Amino acid sequence: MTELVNDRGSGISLAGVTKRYGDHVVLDGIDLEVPAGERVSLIGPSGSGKTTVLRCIARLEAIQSGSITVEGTEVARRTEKRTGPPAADVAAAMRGVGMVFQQFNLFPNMSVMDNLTIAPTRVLGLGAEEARARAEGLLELVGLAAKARAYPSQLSGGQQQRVAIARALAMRPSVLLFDEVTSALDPELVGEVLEVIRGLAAASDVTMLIVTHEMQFARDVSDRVIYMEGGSVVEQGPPDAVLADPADERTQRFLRRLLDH
Amino acid sequence: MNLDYLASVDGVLLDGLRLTVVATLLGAAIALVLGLLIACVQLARVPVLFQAITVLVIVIRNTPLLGQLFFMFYVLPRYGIRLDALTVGVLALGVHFSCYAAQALRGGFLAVPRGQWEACSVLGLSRTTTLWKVVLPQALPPVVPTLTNLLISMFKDSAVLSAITVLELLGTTRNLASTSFQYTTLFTAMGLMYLAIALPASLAVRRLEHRLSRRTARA
Ligand SMILES: Nc1ncnc2c1ncn2[C@@H]1O[C@H](COP(=O)(O)OP(=O)(O)O)[C@@H](O)[C@H]1O
Ligand SMILES: [Mg+2]
Repeated sequence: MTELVNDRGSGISLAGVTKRYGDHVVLDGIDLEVPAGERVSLIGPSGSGKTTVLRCIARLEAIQSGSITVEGTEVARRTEKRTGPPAADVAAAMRGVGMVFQQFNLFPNMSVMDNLTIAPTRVLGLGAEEARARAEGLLELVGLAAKARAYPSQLSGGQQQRVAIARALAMRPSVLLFDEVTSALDPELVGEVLEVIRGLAAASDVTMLIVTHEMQFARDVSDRVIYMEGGSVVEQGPPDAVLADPADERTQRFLRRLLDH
Repeated sequence: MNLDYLASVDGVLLDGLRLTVVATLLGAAIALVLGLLIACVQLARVPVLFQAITVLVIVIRNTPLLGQLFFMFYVLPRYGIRLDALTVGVLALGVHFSCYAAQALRGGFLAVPRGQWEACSVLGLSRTTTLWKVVLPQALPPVVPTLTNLLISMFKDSAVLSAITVLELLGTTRNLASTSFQYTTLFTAMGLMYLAIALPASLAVRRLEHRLSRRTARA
């Protein structure tokens, strides 16, 4: 019943979301729809608010106006309506949201295995055996089956980020947020991480919102590309249209500058 | 040094040392738990409690330990709180050092990157799990040397308990001296006993610090 009420599997929606730090407007009443199963890449210059969009969806930041809906449940709001959904419903909806960070944020005091099992056992109530089996399967998927007992500090950056992806997947999310997950990596390690995400996109129907500067990757993996600037959506459409033949002058300028480098 | 005399009172001195160690360990347990609570209140800025603790910390850090000890020993009974001298002494040590432990612990907490809290939040981990399984295990090890140094300080400063009739090592020594007048022998022996415990502990801290700095260098 809950599933019907919450209409799970309906993706992410931002309606008129404003985020300010003091007087500094970072998101300027942004509207964004990511239907279930869609892969959307978010591109734009540094400081345009891409990370903030993800952080607001993940409830790491409070918003100043508008509302955010995840899988049919309004998880963040600043509107005139009096009551929002109960906290338990919000928590349940947020359990479907996974995030992978630029800096990995693995727990350095735990083995890879413990990094992958702590949330499933403590949040989802999985038994130790089941959580372990799930983790082993995911490590296989990201090509790190041999590293279950290693500690994060013993892994390369690329390996750590693959573990972080596996950790997010261990919660069986229906929505995954990727925030420049290869930006902190040495160039030769970027490929292995993108490969894992490509594989994931091909093998599952998880909704993905991907912030990236890797244009070829965005083109391969996305159904849609959104170009942001100054806290607003400037242009969006199929990757071939936005990346190869952008309509807006600002998008053209951004892509041209990216090519020059 | 009068070794014959020493041999006749070494049991009494060792009893004093034992009491010093017990008072230190009990005081340290209080200081750790209270210090953790103070650090949490300060970091979370819990209203009212935060202000109250700020005042307490200011008072504790800017008045002598001996004065705090006398205050608790002579003032508490006037308000109907009657505790034996050792209990008062242990409480005074614990409260006094908790303020210093809190500062060290707060530093440890603040050194844990925000991303660790954020990863926990996105995974849906509860605040308790986040604190005990992720944050504390990262916040504590770097401050172990500082906490151990505080423990050594407390071990030495526990000598003030002799001022409220607790017969720990210093009090016992002074008692013996007041009747036998064997000052050189007694106070030399006392000094060696403090050294025998504090020195190895200090050396252990130095080795620990060395290992920690190597570990951070590798990471
Ligand atoms: N905690 C913060 N306090 C103040 N300003 C912030 C904070 N976080 C981000 N900003 C500002 O918000 C803007 C958007 O940042 P961000 O979302 O990280 O951009 P992007 O990810 O597109 O590079 C930037 O101008 C940044 O300086
Ligand atoms: Mg960013």
